[in-house]
Amino acid sequence: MVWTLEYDGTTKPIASFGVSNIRRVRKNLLTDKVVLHVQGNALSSLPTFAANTPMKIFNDGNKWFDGIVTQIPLLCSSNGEAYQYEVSGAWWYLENLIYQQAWKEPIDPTESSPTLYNVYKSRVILGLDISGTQLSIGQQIMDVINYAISCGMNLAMGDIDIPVQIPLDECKDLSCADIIRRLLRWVPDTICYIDYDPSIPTISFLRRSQMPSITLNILSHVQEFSIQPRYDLQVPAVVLKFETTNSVNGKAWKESIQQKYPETCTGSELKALVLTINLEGSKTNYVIQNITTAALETSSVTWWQAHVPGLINIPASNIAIGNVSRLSTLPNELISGTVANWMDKTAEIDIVRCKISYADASEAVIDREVAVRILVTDATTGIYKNLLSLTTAESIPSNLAEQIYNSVNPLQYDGTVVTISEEISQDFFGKTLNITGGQPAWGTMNAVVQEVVEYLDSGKIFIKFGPAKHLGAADLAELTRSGRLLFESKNYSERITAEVSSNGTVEQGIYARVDNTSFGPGKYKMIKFADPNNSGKSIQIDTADIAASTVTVKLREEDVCESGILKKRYYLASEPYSS
Amino acid sequence: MNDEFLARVSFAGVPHVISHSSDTTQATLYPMTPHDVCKVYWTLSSLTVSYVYSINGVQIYRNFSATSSVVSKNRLIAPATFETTDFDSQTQTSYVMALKLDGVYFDADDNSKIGLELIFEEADNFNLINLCLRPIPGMGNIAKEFTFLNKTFSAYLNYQSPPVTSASFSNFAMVPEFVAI
Repeated sequence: MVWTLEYDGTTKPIASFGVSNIRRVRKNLLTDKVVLHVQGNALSSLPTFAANTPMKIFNDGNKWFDGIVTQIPLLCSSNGEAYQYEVSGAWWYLENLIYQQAWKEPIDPTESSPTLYNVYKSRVILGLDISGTQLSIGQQIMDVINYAISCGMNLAMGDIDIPVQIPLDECKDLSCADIIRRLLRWVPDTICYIDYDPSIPTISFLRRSQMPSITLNILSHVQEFSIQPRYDLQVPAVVLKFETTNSVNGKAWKESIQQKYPETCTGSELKALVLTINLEGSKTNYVIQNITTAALETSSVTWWQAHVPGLINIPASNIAIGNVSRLSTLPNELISGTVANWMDKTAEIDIVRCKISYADASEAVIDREVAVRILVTDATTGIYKNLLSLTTAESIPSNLAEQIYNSVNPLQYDGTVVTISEEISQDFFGKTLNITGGQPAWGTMNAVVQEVVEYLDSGKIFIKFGPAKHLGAADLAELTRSGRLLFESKNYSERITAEVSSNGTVEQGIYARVDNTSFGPGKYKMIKFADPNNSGKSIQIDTADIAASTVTVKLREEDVCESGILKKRYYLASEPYSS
Repeated sequence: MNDEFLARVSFAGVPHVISHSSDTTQATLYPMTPHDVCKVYWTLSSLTVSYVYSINGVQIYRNFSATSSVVSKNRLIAPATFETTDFDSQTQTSYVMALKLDGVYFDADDNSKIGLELIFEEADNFNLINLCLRPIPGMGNIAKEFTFLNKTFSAYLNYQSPPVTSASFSNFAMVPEFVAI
């Protein structure tokens, strides 16, 4: 095999750079690194490879590694001096790039329907795209990778097929790498694999079932070997308890929905994985209007008494109604409540007129014109309800319990293998490992390779396989952490609509009951003035006292002499009439 | 001083019981305003008349007055009269003055013009002379103006002519007094 190194536009055999002790370290969801040494007078010379410069290593023309120099420690010992170079792969970029998502914000918030534009924020909601569609883990990871690529990262998208729905997860100021690790807590049997052979490194995420397997015979080339079945990590059941808090007009109630796998489990089994997951509930705001109406009975004395306060104390039998007319034709009168446009009902001001004749102890009036200004409507008595705002509940991830169960239930083996050969010819990373030459179960264990360290100089390969410890699936306590640290996303509608409050605008009713009474000119039949402090004193003018049929009593002028001076005065008198 | 009072009156300022006539030719104090008539009717307490005349070489001085004892409020029932009559033995003449407030005269076309009748005579037994407030046709009429309630009226000395010669008439005055209320 011919190993070459490309640096600063020059590709040369790797030995010509004075490089030795080359090893490639790959760990799942951590930065791949190539560590190499350049022996020499390191104390007095500058590093051969400058920091933050790209470096590529080829094996027989195939790109074996592609990264940038990130660390250059100087090593001095009795054996000599050397620069150690750490070259980091593409994941290093993901570790150092804060993931940001687009949020909607209004250009002019004072507008009623403002135009929205995208603002990138490091407060992110995982599991949701900008259009409000829920994303699977795979889709969300692709969004993270695409964001990194849009930021100039030298990375291409590979296979990412993890169609697992998760609860919305809101977090902030996390790197792309942290985001991916956070997502993969739900599917801990996933491996991130970066293929360096293409011109642009390609990143793929493979679940255990999707990984190709590789078989290793412990009797051939294996230098060290350890293995243990992890019965302790197996869970007999996965029970997810989703809790949502829904509210209608500020009244909230809890709703619990349970998802479990296998279906027959109860959650009370020993070592059962029980997770409580909070989901954003629905928020509904209604405006409710209670309306009371009554039929218009304008020919009824009782109706007029109810609308003309002055008639209340007059016996109904002493009141006569005539010449009733209206402006409107709507059938009902609004008694209480208001009529709003959203009710899809009509309301308008009506003026009802009539001529009323009545008599009571103090006056008697004939054909007095009375007008009542009321609100009439075609609405009827009832409760009208209008939806102001609705924020739908966060949907429950489908089959999540089953997905978790499938990730953690199969018996997993963890252990290490060290092989030694003349050349590094086999790539174990991104594969599941089966081991022959031992117990038969090892041959089909499909243990996920979590870490591979390849030593170019010696041909030694260190392989670590088993569950992903850094994903938190190493024990049950870690598994439950995926739920403990998860809170429901309070702001997911804000990301899409730019509306912080989803209460909506309460549209007030336009038409409320009105009551204005107008008395027109009437013909008094009798008027009585009384002294409130002395019931014995009163003045009564009653047409009934005029016996003649055509006599008018009115104010008239007369002459008087006041102490010798001629003056005039008015007096109330009739024209002379024949007795 | 009289008590204050208030009485309903006719358009002429006098009680409705006082007779009215539209024949103003009978009124010797005309035209007066209803206000004047009202004042005279209700508050006139006395009327003093003075004049001087000469006839056939004799000069006669007159100065007399007429008073009513009817107080104002009582005039609602019955009108007051201001009347005096006397006989001058020296000149053998009698003289009469009577202002009777029981009749008023008004203009049929203009109610604001009211008149009162004032009877005023002087005569002797031999030679007819009269002192009137209107001229007498066929007799000599010597006129003198006098004022009453700030209005000017004329008084006439009537005599037979030509038997009566050298008649003259002067200094006619009629002064009213009103009670204070």
